[in-house]
Amino acid sequence: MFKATDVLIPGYIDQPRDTLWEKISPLYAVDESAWLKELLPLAAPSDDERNTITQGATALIEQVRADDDAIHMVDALLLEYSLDTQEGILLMCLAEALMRIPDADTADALIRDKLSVADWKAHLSKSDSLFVNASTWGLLLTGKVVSMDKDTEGNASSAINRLVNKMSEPVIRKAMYQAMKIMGHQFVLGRSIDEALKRGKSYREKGYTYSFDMLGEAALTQADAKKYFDDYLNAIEAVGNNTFTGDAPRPTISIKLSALHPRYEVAQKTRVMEEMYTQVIALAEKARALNVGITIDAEEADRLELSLELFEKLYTSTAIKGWGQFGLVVQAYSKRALPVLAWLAALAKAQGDCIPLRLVKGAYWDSEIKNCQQRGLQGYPVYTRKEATDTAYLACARFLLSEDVRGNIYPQFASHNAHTVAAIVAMAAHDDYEFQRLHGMGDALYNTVIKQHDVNVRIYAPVGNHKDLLPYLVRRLLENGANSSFVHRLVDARCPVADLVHHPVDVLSARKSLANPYIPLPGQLYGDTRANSQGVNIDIEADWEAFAAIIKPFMGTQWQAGPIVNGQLCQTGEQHSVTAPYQHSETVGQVYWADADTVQTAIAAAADFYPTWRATPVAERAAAIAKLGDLLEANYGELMALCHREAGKTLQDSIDEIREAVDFCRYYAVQAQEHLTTPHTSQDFNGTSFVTERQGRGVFACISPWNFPLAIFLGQVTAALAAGNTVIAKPAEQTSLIAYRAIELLLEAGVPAGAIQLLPGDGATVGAPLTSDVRIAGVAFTGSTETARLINRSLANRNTAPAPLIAETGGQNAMIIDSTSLPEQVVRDVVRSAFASAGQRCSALRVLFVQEDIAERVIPMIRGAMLEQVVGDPSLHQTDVGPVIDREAQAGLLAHIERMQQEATLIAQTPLPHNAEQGTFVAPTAFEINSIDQLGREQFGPILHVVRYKASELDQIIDRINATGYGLTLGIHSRNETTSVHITQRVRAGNMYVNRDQVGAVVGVQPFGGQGLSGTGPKAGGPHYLKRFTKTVRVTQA
Amino acid sequence: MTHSNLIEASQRALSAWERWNQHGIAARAEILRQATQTLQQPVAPWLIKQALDVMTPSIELPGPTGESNTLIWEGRGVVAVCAQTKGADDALIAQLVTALLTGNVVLAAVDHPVVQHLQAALTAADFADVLVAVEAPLEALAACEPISLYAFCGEPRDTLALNRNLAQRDGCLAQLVALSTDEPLAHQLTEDFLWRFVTEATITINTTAVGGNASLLELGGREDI
Repeated sequence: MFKATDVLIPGYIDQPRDTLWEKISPLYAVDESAWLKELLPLAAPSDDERNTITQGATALIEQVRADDDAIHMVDALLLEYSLDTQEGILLMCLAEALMRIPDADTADALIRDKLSVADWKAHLSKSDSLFVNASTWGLLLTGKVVSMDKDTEGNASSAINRLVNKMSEPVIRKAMYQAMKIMGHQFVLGRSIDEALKRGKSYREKGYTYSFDMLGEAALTQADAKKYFDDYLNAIEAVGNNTFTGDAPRPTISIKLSALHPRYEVAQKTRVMEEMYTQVIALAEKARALNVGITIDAEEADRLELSLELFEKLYTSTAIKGWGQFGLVVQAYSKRALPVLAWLAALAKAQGDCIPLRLVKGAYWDSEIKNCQQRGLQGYPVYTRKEATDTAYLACARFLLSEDVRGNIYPQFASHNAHTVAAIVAMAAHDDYEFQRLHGMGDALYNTVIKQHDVNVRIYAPVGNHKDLLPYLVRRLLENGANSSFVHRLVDARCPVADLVHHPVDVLSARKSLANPYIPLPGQLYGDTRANSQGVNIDIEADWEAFAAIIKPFMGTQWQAGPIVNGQLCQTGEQHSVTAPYQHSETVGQVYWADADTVQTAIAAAADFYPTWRATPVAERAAAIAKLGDLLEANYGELMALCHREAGKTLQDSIDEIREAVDFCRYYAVQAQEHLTTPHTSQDFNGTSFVTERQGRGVFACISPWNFPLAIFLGQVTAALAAGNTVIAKPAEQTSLIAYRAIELLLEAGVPAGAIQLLPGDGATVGAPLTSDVRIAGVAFTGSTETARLINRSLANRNTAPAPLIAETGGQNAMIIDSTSLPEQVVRDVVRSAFASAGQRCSALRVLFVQEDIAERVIPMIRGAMLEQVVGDPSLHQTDVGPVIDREAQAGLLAHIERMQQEATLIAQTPLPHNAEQGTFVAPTAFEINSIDQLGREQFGPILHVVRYKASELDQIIDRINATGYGLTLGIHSRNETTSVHITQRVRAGNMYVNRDQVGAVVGVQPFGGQGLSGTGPKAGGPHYLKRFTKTVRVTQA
Repeated sequence: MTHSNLIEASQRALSAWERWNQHGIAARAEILRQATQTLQQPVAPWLIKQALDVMTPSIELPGPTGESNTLIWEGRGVVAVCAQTKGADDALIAQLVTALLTGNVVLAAVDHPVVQHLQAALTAADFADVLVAVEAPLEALAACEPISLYAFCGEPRDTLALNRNLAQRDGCLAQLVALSTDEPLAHQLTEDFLWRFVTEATITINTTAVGGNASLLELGGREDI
């Protein structure tokens, strides 16, 4: 492992830059404890240093608290409306959404939703801040009025009250807008750069300087990116032409790269390194000409390596070489921060230009953790304890302040923590550094610092329209606004000073473990119950290179498959070639389809073995199935290649597919152990006690689709096996190779050959004989509603008792978005829900309902985002959308597009690659239609339909959705909880998702399945699924 | 009763469904408990107790912090309660009570006083259309697409025939929950019997959409070890 203290060895940064670069990526999710053991010695103070820091921090805090004017602006608001109170959260939620809502009714409803549930009175007069008290009075009055409205609803005698309240609503709304504007004023220095320069003058006279930023959401379209580019350019010009002179350094501009390009992602590296590069160079040339420094902001962990590569290209360009005012931000909570700093120092030393570098603790901590948990990554890119981040910050600071780095990097320490400030001052042997703070926060602290130390302080100041900036800032604040944060405790007089001056190294070292045991690693998300399936972060160089290496050997493989009966491959029947859906000239392998005799042999084999398998202990069955999960992970590379080449799946889709299959194996193994092992004693309604146990039903036919050729295929098979049935698996014709490989692994895992028979082939030769055979005790089917009916008829026509048919079928899935939703979140989720996997998911979004008040904003954004999608070879990282499965599917989808061209308004169509005709591609396409009634059956591909609706028509919209008869998935985007609850209660859908995308259900977390035309239930990956594969048998009277 | 009358009856029941389904199992159980008290049949209170014990209205599922995942169940919609056998009182009560208890509305195609009894109780509780009595042959019922589930009591051959009829219709795959006259009723009233009347739904909420993963921040700031 990288040895942290080595960075202090003189000459360390003289190593070749490539050598230093190679140390970065492996630390992405390094074992936290092991790495912190490395960092601790670097951060640890000597006794003298510790004393100096403690004294310095104590003095700072005491002076801050002694200042009558210490608590104001954002600090005051945070103190009173602490984010661990309901009121604090509700206030922020309101602030995040209210100002963007264009229509009065929805705004009033949101105010009602947020204000009527809180106890505003408790905050009255507690704060010394006039602003806070004024807000409290307003909220109290408002809250009372809206509560009264809610309480009296439905009461006939309350008509007068309701009338009063109705009349009051515009007044309330106006008051709330005013409150939000005041709040915006606190967070944002100016609505324009000119206003910001004007408002910042008084602080610059005090000796502060600024770094201005036109913060906001990431750009999703070229139009948004152009707008942000223009804003930055204007800001540079305004700052450059500003004539203010003083002792403090000149203000600079901070740039958020994700605002400058709609696809600032590792997957689109080529575009980033060319298009983004050109944009930033243009800004830098202007900035250099006007002597305005530029700082590149840090963003999510996945983009770190890409941002460094781009920075290097920019920094070494002729436009920037020799300037010394082109800098960037590094986040200390990143485990990679220290080697990043070493690499940057080496870069600066080699070129001879100083790099201004802002060291922050990091603002995306909780989203980083959640992201890793969702993706099943091997660890976290950030520390899990706050004191670990503080320790890392000081370790990085010690390196940045070291003599070797001096002159190469100009450190800019951003912190509102008095202890951190005191530690920097104590550690610094020179004064070539500055501090930075956020506008509106830490005033008193830094007023004191400026007075006491001869050090520059720069204020990071958001600039822009309150409506655009407030949502972003509030989210950042919520992410960092824990009660334990220093900002809060510094101004909270109830918190003893001594509690605030502990050195983080001491605090961390005193813990029983360096990593936080309350935040389990992603792999341990389900505790001791089962292991989470492993994901891979393909955006991280080290992870991707290792992963690509295990896929590559299989990218030219020719697989051979056929029926497996009693464990033997049967080379009977017709042989079919399998070609890649994205390149029909590429042969992936050959499959023997089962003939009629093989079908009969397989049924007989499965029926013969059933008594043996039924009698096999549940633990043994479960162990074999769990083992299959491990084998799938052990064969990740081959399965990835099969997903790409046979099913046309993209990299991320393939990872998700394999993970889901693994999760099914582990989940059903656990479920079987929990529910099928122990006989159950109960008493019937006659008062008779008896004992029952669950048994398999017999031979189960599992008929699976091509869109999840591994996950759904194995989900059905493992559930049926775990429950004690023998299984005949019929995979989709299009994806038999991967099914064959899966069954090979199942046999390797220890499932006996008699328990599982594989019959690749078509419906007429395999499906029909299976479902009409009386030896089949049940069918698990996923596919079209029409095929489910045929199977049902075939089963019913047998002269035997009705058999269970567990059917998962299609959907006409809708998403409803109201005007409280955040367009950027909506568009991201819409594009993923509608077009990921080329729309070939049962859960995919088909009909988007947009409240008309925001349609003119949202629809163009969808268009812009669709134009940025990349269709092509699914094995390439850059590809967002792969092919559809075959020519038949393609023809059906193209026919629908053709029809819609006549009957609807085209919103957008993503361009196809130049060689699209070599495969079966369908361009992601969106149409605006008048009503969901215009659509008939589901179109299983990348086609989105958009319907505008009036807010007052919400219930009619719900009725229309329900009237389709389908009920699989539903998406909702609304900040109004009352609205989202109302919709979830009324819409008949099996899986409902609020404020996120509507695809990617996770086994055991989001049990999946629909109702009505969409399926029979019970839900796959849920606690009731296995039982449907069993029957209860009375074994004895108790 | 004609096909259109049956459709009309289904629509009438469906109009009452949303409110009944959202009324909650505890409240429905209370209405049905009181309604069946006078019947002096052990099967109804036994089923109500079983359902309350076994059918937790919602289950919180594990997952990443910053997301809530809840599994709930609800009625399937319109249930037709029908029988080919006279006199199977217990079975009929079991089908009616279970269908209603689990949040369904019912078309009762059986001529039995318990139907009127339950109707009176439901009307008194302001749920008049939750149970609609219909007179229709099995063939007609089987062709009625708004019906989601058939709770049937009869001999195996009748069950087989009904199942074939149901398979012929379009629309959603109708569920058939049959109680056989060939087997003791007590043996057939298992936990699975109750679950067949419901459908499940998963509700996932991204609780960090506005920003801030409160539960994670709390874990990150824990100082107790």
